[in-house]
Amino acid sequence: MELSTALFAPSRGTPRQSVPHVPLCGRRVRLRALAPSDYDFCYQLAVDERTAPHWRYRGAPPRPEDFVRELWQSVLVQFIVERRDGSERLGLVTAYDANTRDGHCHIAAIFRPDTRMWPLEGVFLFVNYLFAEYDFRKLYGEVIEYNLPAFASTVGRWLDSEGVRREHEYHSGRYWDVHLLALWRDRFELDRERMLRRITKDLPA
Amino acid sequence: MSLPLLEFDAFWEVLLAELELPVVAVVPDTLLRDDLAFDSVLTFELLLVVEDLAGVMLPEQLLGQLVTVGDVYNVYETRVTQG
Repeated sequence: MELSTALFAPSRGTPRQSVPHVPLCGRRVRLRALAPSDYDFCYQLAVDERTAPHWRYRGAPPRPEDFVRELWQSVLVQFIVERRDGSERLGLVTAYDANTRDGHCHIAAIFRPDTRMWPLEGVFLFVNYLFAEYDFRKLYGEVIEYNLPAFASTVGRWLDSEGVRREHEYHSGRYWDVHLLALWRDRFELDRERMLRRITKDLPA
Repeated sequence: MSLPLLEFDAFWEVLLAELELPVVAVVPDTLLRDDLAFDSVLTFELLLVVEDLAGVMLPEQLLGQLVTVGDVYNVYETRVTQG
């Protein structure tokens, strides 16, 4: 037996420790590592007039030759959200500005404008992944005022409002507030099992 | 195995409990968005529960057609009875 094999092979009779599975696949969508072949798709999200104002570049994406570097700037981990069968890309979820000392991180999500609400399944899987794989206490999301109504039911229920930057961003002829929302690990754990069971349950079409 | 069909009132009672929302009186014409303040996140959760109760996945093109409480129940009822 080679030394390396001997070192890493489990001892005979020693039960293997089961490693909990962190699901990346839901009822309709799955998360997949971002690959170079996805860069064009991401660039289209950055320049599409329907999605560009909502994403991190706020309608002013970097030059194409700088785009890939910017796409990974301050990023901890990011996934493409695609249909479960891999037939179609739906969007991108990103964790960035991670602070491992203080236990928090920012997250962002952007989806094709023609997708409906199923990408939310991908966001839930992503949040679950982050809390499972990193020792974060909470995750932050910044939401511009005009996007807030889509999340209104989550504020106070799942998300805490931790601050508002008044008239922070200029878009479409006026200034808009930017809300800082936080999802605490403890709060997420309350609903985690119930939501995960539902999202990952297979049903006939 | 076919799932039991819940009557309208029982269906909504189960839905609201699953969503951990306060009990409110609804009629088939009650509007999801305007009367019950359902946003996209809550509607997403609602549909997951409906799928569980019906035992099938709903076609995506249905989503834009769900305006009232009655619309949701009709989708559920149709799926269960076709089961």
